[in-house]
Amino acid sequence: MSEQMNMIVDSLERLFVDLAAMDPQLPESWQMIEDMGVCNLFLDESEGGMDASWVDAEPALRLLGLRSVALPVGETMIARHLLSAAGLPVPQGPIAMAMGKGEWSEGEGFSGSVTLPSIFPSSMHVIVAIDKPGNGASMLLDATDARSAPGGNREDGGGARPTLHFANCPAQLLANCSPDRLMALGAFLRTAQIAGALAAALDLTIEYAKIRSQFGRELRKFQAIQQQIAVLSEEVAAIASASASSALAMDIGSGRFAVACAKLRANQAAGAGALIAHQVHGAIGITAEYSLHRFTNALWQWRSDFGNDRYWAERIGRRILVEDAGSPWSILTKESLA
Amino acid sequence: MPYQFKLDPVALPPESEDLRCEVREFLDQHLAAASPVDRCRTWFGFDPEFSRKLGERGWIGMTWPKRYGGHERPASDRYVVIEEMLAAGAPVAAHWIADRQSGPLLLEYGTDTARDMFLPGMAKGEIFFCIGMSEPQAGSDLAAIRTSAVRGDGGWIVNGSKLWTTGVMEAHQMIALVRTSPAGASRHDGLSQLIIDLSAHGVSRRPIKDHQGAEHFGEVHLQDVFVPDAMVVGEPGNGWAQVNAELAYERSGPERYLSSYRVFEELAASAHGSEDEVLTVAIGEMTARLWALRQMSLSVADGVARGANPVVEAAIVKDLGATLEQDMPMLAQIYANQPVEGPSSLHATTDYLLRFSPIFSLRGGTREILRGIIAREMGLR
Repeated sequence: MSEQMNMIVDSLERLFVDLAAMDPQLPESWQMIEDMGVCNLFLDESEGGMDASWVDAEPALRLLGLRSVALPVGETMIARHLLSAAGLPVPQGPIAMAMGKGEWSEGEGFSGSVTLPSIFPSSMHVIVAIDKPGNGASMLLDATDARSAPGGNREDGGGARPTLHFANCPAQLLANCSPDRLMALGAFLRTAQIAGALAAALDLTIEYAKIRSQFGRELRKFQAIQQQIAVLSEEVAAIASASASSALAMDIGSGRFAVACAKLRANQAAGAGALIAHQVHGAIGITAEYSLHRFTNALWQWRSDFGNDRYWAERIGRRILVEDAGSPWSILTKESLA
Repeated sequence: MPYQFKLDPVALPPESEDLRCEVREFLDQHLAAASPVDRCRTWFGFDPEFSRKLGERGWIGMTWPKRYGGHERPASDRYVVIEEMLAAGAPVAAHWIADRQSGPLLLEYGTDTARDMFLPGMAKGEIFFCIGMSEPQAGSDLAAIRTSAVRGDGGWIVNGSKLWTTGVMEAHQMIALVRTSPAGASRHDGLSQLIIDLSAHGVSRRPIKDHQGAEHFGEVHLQDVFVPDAMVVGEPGNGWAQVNAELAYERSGPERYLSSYRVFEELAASAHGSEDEVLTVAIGEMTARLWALRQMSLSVADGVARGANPVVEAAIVKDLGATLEQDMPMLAQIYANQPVEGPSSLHATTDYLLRFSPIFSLRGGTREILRGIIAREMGLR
């Protein structure tokens, strides 16, 4: 599988380079991604997929961050996986994932609002989870049913989060996906994307330190710069490992604890790492012309998506202090098992 | 394409959990009398009796060949044993360097004589080693060492001094980096590793008291000390390359992020059952860092076991680990509830580890040296 995955990642790499020159909102952009088959990675071979494991797919998810792909490719992969596993029909086109607010009942459908954490083309579905005590649920909605379906904005690097409003819209319930599960899957995806985007920021930073000179020397020759970039490299390595490790934990067991730790660690790295990348670049880094902001804007946003630091820290902390009544070490070692 | 770190994800095999239970039972039994501060000393806590018991259990030299007293067990078994020892705060100093570093070095480069002479005793927890690298004029700048050896009849005659040598007062042997020929085109040429018998004629050693009154390191003076050829490790002149390969063992193990774990355990125990939001978040944030470091450390250990030499990844684990080790007692100081009565075990461990914590980013390569290694690998130097 890993050989096959390497080939897929290589072709995706070329595709994303081509896509970078196109408007992601155009239907042609999405069609190019569909043609590659990447959105079906988790589906059975009988459904045109590759029956990929989380470890198999993780490099492809990381690549989405590395090449700052704004379309919900990872979300669509995971959503199709959920729908297929629930025995539900998989709709055409992209599918976003989001936490929503509102009410759902079998007769009345869904009424409420959903703020999307990614840009999206005009025709799209969304899996929404409403997290209410005793009445949480995840469901598939057709975004074209929404009262306002604003488009994302390419120029702001995905910073705008369109909000969709639904009133008594048909909703397909996903009985196999609790709101916690959807949150964890989104967190896993964002962890991989953060790992990719921070690796890209490191790459740009290293290249810039080699070509930019001040005081008659390349920036890379200054120890202060070397040490800063070393710290950024450490963060990149840590979350590459965290991302891959959480994928493995999801293959072996539920992966809940690993995903919580990995997303929180990725959040920490996103903030610290983005600032170092900008510091080394100086003013050029915050210009619209230079590409660094494509990655750092994504990092700022992804840190908040599917659980900011406090969200996951509270869950991990409660697990240790209240739910398990154990020591951090015993939970850490227990949770690395199936 | 960006730099690819060699950090493939690793999960310990399910069988290793039986071993983990065994180790925990053993530790419950043997650490019952240890004070909370004693348990903070971990791999600086010297207890030869404890080391001998571990040897009896087969928990030293676990991966080494049986013909040298080893147990030919998978590297993952060794990882489980040492991480449990460190997390529990077991006094593993006596055999630590032999098990982690000197034994594997001899297996790779040692003469048959040296292997036969030392490995079985190391595995029994009876022969203790130390590492002679730093000198009065050579700290981070290791290639500046002045201790030198000249040819004698059937061996080498060594003169010089080693400083800050961990465990030197209790160790039986020291693997020292010495200059055996003048620096050539590079200062790294002409260095060699020699096994020096610390009871040999011409060796004198003195402990150095640290700022908390402990004597975990010391200095050694070598005056015309004879070292037979069989005690040369590897090729004379190849010392620099060997030392650097050895440092990957030294920089990636669980001792690089668990040195102050005891205070974190104490902090969590003090807040057990609490709904305190501040502590809940602080403990959650630290646990995520701890989890991530353990995953990296497992990956590096797995790489080393497969014959890779992940120098950069090991340096990263050590630098991130040292920062975590320094942050743990600081976290306890910042967030612990103030004691109403006398100091608790949480406060005792916090005080001890806060004062000990500067060493975490010094020993085994300073923070600045490690970051320099990483920067070089990134093509900056």
